[in-house]
Amino acid sequence: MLNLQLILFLIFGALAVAGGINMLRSRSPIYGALSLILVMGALAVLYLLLGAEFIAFVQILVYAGAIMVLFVFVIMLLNAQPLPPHERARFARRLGLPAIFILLGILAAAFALRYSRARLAAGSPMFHVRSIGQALFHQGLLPFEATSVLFLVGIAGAVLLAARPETQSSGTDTPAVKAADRSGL
Amino acid sequence: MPINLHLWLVPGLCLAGFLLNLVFGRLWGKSIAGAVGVGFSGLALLAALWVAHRWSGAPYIEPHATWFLAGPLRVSFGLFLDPLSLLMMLIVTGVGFLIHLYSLGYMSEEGGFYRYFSLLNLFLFFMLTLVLAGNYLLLFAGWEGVGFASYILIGFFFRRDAAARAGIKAFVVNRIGDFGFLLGLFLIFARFGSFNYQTVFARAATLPVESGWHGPLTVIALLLLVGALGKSAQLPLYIWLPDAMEGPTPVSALIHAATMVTAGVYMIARSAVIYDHSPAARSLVLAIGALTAIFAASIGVLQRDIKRILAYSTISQIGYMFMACGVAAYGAGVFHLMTHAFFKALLFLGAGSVIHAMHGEQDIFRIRSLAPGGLKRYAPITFWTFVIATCAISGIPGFSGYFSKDLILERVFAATSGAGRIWWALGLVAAFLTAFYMFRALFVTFFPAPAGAPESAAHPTGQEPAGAAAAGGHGNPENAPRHALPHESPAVMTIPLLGLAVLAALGGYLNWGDRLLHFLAPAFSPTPNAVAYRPLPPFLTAGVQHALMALTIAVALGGLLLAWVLYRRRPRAAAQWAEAVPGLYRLVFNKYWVDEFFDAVLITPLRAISHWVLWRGVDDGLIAGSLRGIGGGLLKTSDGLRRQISGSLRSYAAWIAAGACAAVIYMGWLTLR
Amino acid sequence: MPTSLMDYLRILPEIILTVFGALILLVEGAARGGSRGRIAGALAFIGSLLALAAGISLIRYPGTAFAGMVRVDSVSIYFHILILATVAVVTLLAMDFLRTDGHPRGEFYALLLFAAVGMGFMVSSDNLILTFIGLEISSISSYVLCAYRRHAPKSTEAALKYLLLGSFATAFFLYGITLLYGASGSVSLPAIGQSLAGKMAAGGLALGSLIPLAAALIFVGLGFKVSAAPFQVWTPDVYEGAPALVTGFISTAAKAAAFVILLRVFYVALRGYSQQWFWLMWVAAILSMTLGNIGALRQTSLKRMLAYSSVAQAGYILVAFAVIAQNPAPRVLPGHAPVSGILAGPGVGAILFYLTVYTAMNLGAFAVIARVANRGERFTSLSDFAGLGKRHPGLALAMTLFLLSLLGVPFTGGFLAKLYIFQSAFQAHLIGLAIVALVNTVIAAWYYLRVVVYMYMRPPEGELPPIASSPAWTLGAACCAVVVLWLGILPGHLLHWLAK
Repeated sequence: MLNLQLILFLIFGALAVAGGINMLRSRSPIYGALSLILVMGALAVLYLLLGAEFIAFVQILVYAGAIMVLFVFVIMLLNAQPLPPHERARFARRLGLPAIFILLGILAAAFALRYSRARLAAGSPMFHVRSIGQALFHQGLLPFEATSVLFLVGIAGAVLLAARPETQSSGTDTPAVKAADRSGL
Repeated sequence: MPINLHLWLVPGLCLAGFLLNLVFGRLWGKSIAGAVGVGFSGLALLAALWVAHRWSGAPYIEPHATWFLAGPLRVSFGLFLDPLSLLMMLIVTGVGFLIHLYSLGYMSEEGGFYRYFSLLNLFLFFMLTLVLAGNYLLLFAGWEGVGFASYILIGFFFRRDAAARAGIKAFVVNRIGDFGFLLGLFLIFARFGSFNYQTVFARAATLPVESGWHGPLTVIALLLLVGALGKSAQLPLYIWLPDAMEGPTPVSALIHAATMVTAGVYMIARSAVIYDHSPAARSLVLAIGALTAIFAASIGVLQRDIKRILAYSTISQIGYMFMACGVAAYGAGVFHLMTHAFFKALLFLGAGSVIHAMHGEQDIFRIRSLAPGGLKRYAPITFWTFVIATCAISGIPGFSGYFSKDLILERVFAATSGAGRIWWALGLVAAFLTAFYMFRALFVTFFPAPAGAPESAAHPTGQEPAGAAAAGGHGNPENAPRHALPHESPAVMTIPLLGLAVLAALGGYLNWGDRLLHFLAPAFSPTPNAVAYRPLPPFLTAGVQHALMALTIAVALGGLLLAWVLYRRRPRAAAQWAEAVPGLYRLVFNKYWVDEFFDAVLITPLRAISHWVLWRGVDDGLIAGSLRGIGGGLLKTSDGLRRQISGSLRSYAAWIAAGACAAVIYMGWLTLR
Repeated sequence: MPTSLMDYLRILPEIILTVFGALILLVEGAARGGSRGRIAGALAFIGSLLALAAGISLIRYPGTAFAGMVRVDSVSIYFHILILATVAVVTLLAMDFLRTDGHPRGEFYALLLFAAVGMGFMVSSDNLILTFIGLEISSISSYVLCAYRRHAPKSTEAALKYLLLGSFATAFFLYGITLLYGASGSVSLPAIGQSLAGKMAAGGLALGSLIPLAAALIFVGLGFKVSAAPFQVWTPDVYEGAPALVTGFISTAAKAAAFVILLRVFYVALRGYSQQWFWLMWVAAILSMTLGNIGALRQTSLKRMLAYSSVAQAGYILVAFAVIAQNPAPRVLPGHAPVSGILAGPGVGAILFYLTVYTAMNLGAFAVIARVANRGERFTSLSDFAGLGKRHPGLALAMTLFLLSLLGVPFTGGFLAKLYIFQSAFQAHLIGLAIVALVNTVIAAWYYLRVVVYMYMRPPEGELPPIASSPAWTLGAACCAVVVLWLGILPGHLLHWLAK
């Protein structure tokens, strides 16, 4: 059982990482978006493996489903062209990449030391819909409500930035897309 | 319960004058603005006299609102009156009032009249805060305040790059000094748990006298000394003072001669208890004082700009005061501070009057050539007061400077022995040089050129001195036609001259029978009963004293005589001497190239770092980067070699990643080791 | 767990701000013609004042709300007052700026209020989840505000850079929270503190413990927000590109709120580990002060110069954090800490005082810049300030005051603030750090005074359009100036209050 879990973890973990790297590398926005869908899907499987079914489904529904579809729509609507090849930021490559790898290495080492013998706790009651609801609407009520302000800010900002200066109108379709754009970050 | 002296009135009146002129000055005409400025400084003088009259003689603390209270740190606005601060208060208000009065005439043609007077009042306010403060922090506040007021006054009326630069130079050099001063203050607080004079001195007095350079009091004393060096323009931080002469002449008189620059001496004298416990620090004070005295005096010998001569003489004279403090003769130092305030203010005001008479000319040789028959014919009051001041600064017997300088040299002689006498000898030589260059200035400025004198004095290299050339012509922005004949200044300017002349001539007699020293003595000892007036060592018998006195007199007269010979009798000799040793002449004439040295060692590298690394790298990179748009690649800087920092988004992210990496490596090392 | 009225009372300022923010958006949509902006401005001002009143009234209701999610203690009340007052002043300053520049006004005020909601949660949150959401609310509002001059490429670019790098830094912060949760099983700050204290008492952290790494990552995220070196790289671009008033706002209120998080996370939750994170603060303080001050030396754009200067100012505040780390306060279990417990340590008072002064002087300086920059922010370079003393003596005088305070000249708030910090550093025997800080104030004199020189000692260059009068602006700037002077001359009240 555990072995199967491990194998699945390795497969989907690798997929997630590969998707992420491909998203960064691709010059075409549409490939980037598709790679991102791959990442989202692979993450959903990982959640599933951890026994968090609810989160896994939400992940598929919201991210892979709603948000990514919007992304692809926007890219198609804008008819975004692949980016022209640009000069390499030598500085970023020389300093940034090694730094990131060292960072990841240290974190991995710490995890390896700490959790080498720990087991994955499958099906923890923490992840049941009921307990999530409890957490969200009891202990987490305030952050949950505060999040609505966050969305309001996102919408207001999108209206502001997207609106044409002459009309200054609100209530078009564009803001919604931008708001989704923001929450995707 | 001692009577309430209302000490706060003295600085408070100056502040009121400042505020009134600041707020209403634009609405008022010149006459009212001037009257307010002068009037409030006069009222401050009256208040100071009233305080002096009612004062009982015991140290007096006037508590006021708490300024700052944070945990153990408690600082109040408390004022403090003892003999030392009383004397300083009287000097500041007295000389300050006369200079205010003089400014009425001198600045009458200038724009921004009200602003000038409001700033002058502000300066007095800070200076009085400095001398009347009851704790080190308030002293520091006044200290910074006078620096700022002086900086603004230097630059305010002279919209020239030189003035602006001089202002900044003054402020930055002073910040270096303040850095040491602040450090010293923090150590004082760490050591004694208070900034209050009374507390600090009472606790310091119980500590043993330290030997060597490592004791806490020695370190404190040395740090305070750094602050004093900056403010009082001593070696090596003197470089700002000559440049500060770009300001209006009354400002030079008030700030850069009579009051502010002596704040360092006041501070050391105020901290006498701390310096008493550290012979090592005192010996450094002595050495710096003596070296500065001779160094600045030797530069003064060859200057041609009258204000620069006076600037270097100020530096040199303050060196004497430091020497006095260095041998724990604080009373003598403060005595010289007082007489110096009188005669130096007089010299500057006289110089101002000369410049006024000559329509802005500051080069003494050109003054001579522009005033046929000698300036003394046209401006007799200026001439005679200048003579008195010159006699005083040179130490001609009977004048104030003689008493104080003789006293300092005597004390230095008494306190040193063996090789230490070198400082005394240096002081003596400096006294000779002082007499020489001051009389040179007097003879050249006021007397007609003797027959056979070279038109422009000696210049073996043939170059025109940069300072004189720059200063000549626009010292006073309103330039009357150059061909107008010189004229005597109006009464509003000559009356202060006469007042100061009386003080400069007779101020020395205040110490008749060591009265002033006895009066000041309690200020230098923490406990009321201790005898702080130090008896002279036994070898200093009356005979030795008289011999020293004779030596001082001889040196002063020798300087006078040499100047007379060189600039009156045998005018060619000076040029011949200069030709004999051209290297030395150039070295001294160019002020030992100290400014250039500082530029090369300090300013240039700092600028280079800022310019090449941060500006060309980050900044240029950024602008070019934004032109190419976000995500634009590496910037090709002009030299093609500096590609470390592009200014693009990705390199910023790389910076952050690198920083994060460093933080995680450090923390990870902690957890994984 | 049911919530009571008291719970809502303790977040009343946030509720008021949210209501008014939403109201402004609605009114802006409904109103027509010239009255739109004025109504929005008035609403924003009233809303911020009401919230300020609510914040002050919190003094009478200390305690926790929402099951320990929110903690109303002296720090949160203090910063509520500071932030809300800042918002009110920015509202005043902005009224005419928005009108003359022809920007849509309603959204500006709404975003301002929403940002304040986020900051309010940041300073009173005792739970990392809420902290994070507050941080995001305020950050996203700031990103949008930075882009407010939509037609200026610099403004848009600044916003985009800020957004991307900010998200990058937020990822670090979030990952740090995750690790902290993994290590201690809680996202509540007092609970984390207790867990850590227990571990330290039982012989230190286990090998490979995640807490140090979490501390490092959280430090990265917050270091970015407070623009501490080496995470300061974004600051010059963003501060220069954003509208001057927005820069004034994000460099003061947003920074103050981020410093409060830093304080709460490190001082409450990670206090047991202070000997180790001490060096993080130490290095960041020295780097920030030095890089900030040296970087500012050659700037010709005033906004850019003040951006570097604000990096340096953050460095001075980090000195106080190093002091805190060195002197952990007498043990008061955070869970049971009295309301003022967090203030007990040396250095905390210094941080609060410094942030107050800094907010007033920096906001004031940017307010003057916004005014001189005039329509479209065309005049922000040093040479545009030449001769300001002649052209606009009042503006020049105000600018001089703010610059002198930033420099730390006596009788301005900046002097005492610096003094307080250096003093606490000396007390904690951090002599080296204090000396570096002092040397930095010497360097700083150069560039602050250069502006004063330009204003008073240079003739104006070229023809500059006149600056229109603005009573609201004058009132706002006067508030800043009064605070700077008041805290420089008679800080007794505030310090007394801080000491309590």
